[in-house]
Amino acid sequence: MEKEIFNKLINKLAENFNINKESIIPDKDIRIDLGLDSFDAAELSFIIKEEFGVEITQDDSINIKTVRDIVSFIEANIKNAKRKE
Amino acid sequence: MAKKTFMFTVKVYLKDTNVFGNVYFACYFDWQGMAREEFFNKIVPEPNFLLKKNIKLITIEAYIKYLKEALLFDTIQIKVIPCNIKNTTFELIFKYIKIGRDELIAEGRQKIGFTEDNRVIPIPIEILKIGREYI
Repeated sequence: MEKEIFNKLINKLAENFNINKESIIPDKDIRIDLGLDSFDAAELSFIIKEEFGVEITQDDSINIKTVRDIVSFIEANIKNAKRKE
Repeated sequence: MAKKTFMFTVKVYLKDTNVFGNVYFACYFDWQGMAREEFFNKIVPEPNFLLKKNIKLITIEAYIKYLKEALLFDTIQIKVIPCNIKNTTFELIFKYIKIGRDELIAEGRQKIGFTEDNRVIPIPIEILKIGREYI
């Protein structure tokens, strides 16, 4: 599951923010290493909602620093999101 | 539905030129700002809509590529085109056209977003709906 989420996330990051897929690894900081600003981060939360059905609020996003953090957040919340569907 | 177009016209005066007699590069940014204000003034149904709702318009990026010079008393038409509309940001393209010669003299681009109470918000629906008519 984690691998599947990670691969989908890489594709979305590359497509939407013009980031080279090879440079996206789990420990990369999305702001410092991948260059996402606060608007990009908000945009990413919309994309994640569309792709995985998981909502990341701006309060949640304070604790999300790395690609791994996003994957873990999605994995932890995707079951609840599916249950709500 | 036919695509709408928005144009803003400026004329070059001495105050806009530099020691070489052509338009100083920073004027293009001034004009870009004026064209954007008029664009929003025209498309948003209620004047001062953003101020009333306490929404801030944020310029994230601004860019100009200079192609040809403009000179004293030239008239320049700036065409404003929204594009690349996402959930939280969109872009405006500015085409600077010298009237008379119909010559593209510069091209600009801005990336814009909105915040409310210092939080990023989706593009206000009032702007999104009408802005799409100009794409």
